Amino acid sequence: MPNQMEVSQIIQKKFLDDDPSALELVYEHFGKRLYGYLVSILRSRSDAEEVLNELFMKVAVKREQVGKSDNLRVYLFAIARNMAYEMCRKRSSQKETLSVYAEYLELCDDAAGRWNEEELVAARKAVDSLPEEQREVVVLKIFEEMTFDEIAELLRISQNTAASRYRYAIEKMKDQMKGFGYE
Amino acid sequence: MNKDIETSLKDLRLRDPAAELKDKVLANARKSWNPRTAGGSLKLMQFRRLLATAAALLILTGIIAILNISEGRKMQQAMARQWGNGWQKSEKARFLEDLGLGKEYSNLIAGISTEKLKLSNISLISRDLNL
Repeated sequence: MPNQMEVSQIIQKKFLDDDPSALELVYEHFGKRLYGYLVSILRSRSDAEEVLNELFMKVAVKREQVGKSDNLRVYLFAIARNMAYEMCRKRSSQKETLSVYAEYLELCDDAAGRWNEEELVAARKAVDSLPEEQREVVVLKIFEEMTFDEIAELLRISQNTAASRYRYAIEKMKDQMKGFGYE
Repeated sequence: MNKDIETSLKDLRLRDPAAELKDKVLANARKSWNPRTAGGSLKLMQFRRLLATAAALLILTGIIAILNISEGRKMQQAMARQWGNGWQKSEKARFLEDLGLGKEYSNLIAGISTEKLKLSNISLISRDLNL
């Protein structure tokens, strides 16, 4: 099975060869993650769907640029981020706003035995109570499995800033989940 | 036993988006991919925008024209009225002069409206004229 880097290269080659099947591959590998990231910023499923739709249209039009980008994943997330913040600026009222972003988090199939309901609720609450800039780093680091280098490039901050935001976030979450054996 | 929060959080994942979203997103993206379709929809969008601008301009021009016409009519009517009044006044004054009234009295009486020039008002007029 090809790794992330290889997948990106395959997709980028398809974009440069003007092969529309690249779109499906992008959706397959990044669609769900981009959607999750958009929900984390917009806190609205319908807005995230709208932005994801526009994002893919943009990607199709600018396929040459996408094909030549240095890091496909960071490039796609950067477009998503810009579009999401653009929508936040335009959005006059919060419609269908999620009360907590963490509602969008669920347990992986193989993890059910390791968690109890209370702990899951506490973990969701801990993620949700983080300040926006820390939560964004946690989402990108833990759920998107990005490196600090990639996060720094995406958020246009230094690697140290990204790492320290992450550290502070982890400390806060540990503190909130002390009762469940996290020290 | 101490648990590691970073490891535990990796047990969580983002809930999948609705399945139909994929079809919708990919269908729209494919339309944008095809230069003909993308160009067509772009041209249609530009045409619609142009049409809307033209319609707005036309409406604006129409409103301005209507306002101008009504204003012009009002002005014409006012001018005609003024001219008519002036002509009547000079005719009256000439008539009074022919009757032997002094020029200044003729002009003064000619300036008085017809309504005021009733017999019942003659005394008032003569008082005004010191007759």
